Amino acid sequence: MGWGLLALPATLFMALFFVWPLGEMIVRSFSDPTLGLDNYVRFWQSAAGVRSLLETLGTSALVTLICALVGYAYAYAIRFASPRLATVLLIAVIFPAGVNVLVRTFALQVVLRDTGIINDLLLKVHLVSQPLPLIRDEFAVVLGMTCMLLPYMVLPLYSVMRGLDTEYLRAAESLGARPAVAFLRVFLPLSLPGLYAGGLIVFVAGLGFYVVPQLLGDNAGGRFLSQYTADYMANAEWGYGSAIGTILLLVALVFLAAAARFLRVGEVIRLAFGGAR
Amino acid sequence: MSGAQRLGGFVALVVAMAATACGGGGGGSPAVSQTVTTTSLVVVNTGGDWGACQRKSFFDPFTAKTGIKIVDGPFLTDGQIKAMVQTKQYNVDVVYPSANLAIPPAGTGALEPIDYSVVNKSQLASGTYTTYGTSLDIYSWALGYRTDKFGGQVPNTWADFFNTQKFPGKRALPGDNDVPAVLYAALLADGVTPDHLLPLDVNRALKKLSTIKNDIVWYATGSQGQDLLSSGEVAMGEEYANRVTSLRDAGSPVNISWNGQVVAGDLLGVPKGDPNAKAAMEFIAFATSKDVNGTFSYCAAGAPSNVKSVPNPQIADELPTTHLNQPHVVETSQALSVYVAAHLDAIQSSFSNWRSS
Repeated sequence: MGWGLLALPATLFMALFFVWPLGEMIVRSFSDPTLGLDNYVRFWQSAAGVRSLLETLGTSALVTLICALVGYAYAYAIRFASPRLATVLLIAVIFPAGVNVLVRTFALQVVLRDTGIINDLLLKVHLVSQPLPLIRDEFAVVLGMTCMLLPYMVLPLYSVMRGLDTEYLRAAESLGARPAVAFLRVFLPLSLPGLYAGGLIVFVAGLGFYVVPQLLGDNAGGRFLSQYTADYMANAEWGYGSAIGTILLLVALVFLAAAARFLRVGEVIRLAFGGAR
Repeated sequence: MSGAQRLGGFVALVVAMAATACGGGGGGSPAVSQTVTTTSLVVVNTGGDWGACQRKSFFDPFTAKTGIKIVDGPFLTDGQIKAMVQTKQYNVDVVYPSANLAIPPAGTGALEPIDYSVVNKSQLASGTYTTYGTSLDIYSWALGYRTDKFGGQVPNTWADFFNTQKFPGKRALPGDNDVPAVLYAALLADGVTPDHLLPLDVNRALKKLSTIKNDIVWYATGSQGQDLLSSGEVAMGEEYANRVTSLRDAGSPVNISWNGQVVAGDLLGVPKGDPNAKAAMEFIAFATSKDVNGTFSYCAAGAPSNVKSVPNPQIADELPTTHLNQPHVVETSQALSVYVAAHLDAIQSSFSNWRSS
């Protein structure tokens, strides 16, 4: 009691708007329209559904990898930039994240499409005779998702890196380590918690993407699970849609559990959303 | 329907569920069974030019006549209409069900039967009214093409649409919002005549679609399809006819072929158990009546569903109904809607599996 009472409104809110609908979803996946595993069997027997699940997992993994490579270098640059430059670099990451995903995706469409800015220019200067296939394929989806998710990799990484004492690096170098070795054996291991935190958030958030694959993807072989599910939700097949949602939830939980072997999940959330130490 | 609408649907559903739980716990749920004197109706109106035209042609005149105010409501998918009826939270009184929901048995639990003692169906074109829906206007899916891509050659039929040798370039198809319309076009291209579409040979249609699979650009909303054509991203598309003619009017190098157009009624329906059902029926009767129905053609390129109603003569060439002398499919005809509604699951699954293979 006492201060604990302050958590009551938020707890009630979460119970009502999060736990209850989630429970309803899981119950429905086993009971609508008939009691049993029918919805799950139907999913595993549907070629399009399974393919969408694999596509969702594969693309999210690829996006996580690219975000890790790009985001690590970027966070490293912020960490060692002058304070003024660091501020500019940070704003450059945070500011676009404040713009609606739909708007940013439409903007990418205008840049990438056959009659878009890039292809228009390349065709005009006769560098290519046919438009480059920049849109309606895996490339466009990966690029779009990387744009949207990069901040969630950079911020936890930067948060960890900023807390690292550069004296460790100097100590390593004074003991004879070349800068590359000092980075690989001292700085990199110490920054890993940020990488795990960012990776987990980017991967799990990527699993639920809808707008980006819908507007930039081929909408055929590379459809995301969310797009596949939408076909059935529009026909009010709540049971089947719920089963797919539950499967995706389970997949996400498996990855969370795996991640929990490397670090405490609470720390991930603090690193991602808590800002500085 | 757009992705945003679909996502909106999920959100609306979650909120609706939570709201019921809340109402049940707090004992404050509103009574809906009592006789209600309707002072306002909520009718789907998604805005834009068509939204303004609808208000001017139907909403405001109805208010002037009956004193009942009309409030713009959001578009609801069939799934959202069902959810609304299940939770008895009637947010919209006049909705747009798909042709697959507006017939029995699909719509029996979701929609009120249209009261044809109030709505005069004897004046309505065939294929524009069903047990649970009455159409305000007639629209169509037709072949829209670029006039600047084929050196003066003109694609006239769906067979030309599938001939990428003679007419090279990408094709836009509405794979997310009207799968049957895509299948009809493919079957017509393969030599099936409009009156021999049933039973629907889905595999034959998919086989035909496979011949141009790498050139297809799938789109989800009418505005996306229009944008693909106007930007030249595609050379041809199965498009909403009015969106092609409006591009043509605005000076874009596009034109339309009406041969094989897929004509459909824009059905209005009333959610089952809606407390304002009586006034909603009156609104539908009013909007489809002889003197009112055609007035919207002065602010939008659509054909009235009431055959006694005279549309704007200046846009006659842009109306699907002017071109019914050519081969065409009536998507909302009794035969096609009953068949598709009964096989919707199988059609959707075959199409999804083919599309992702």
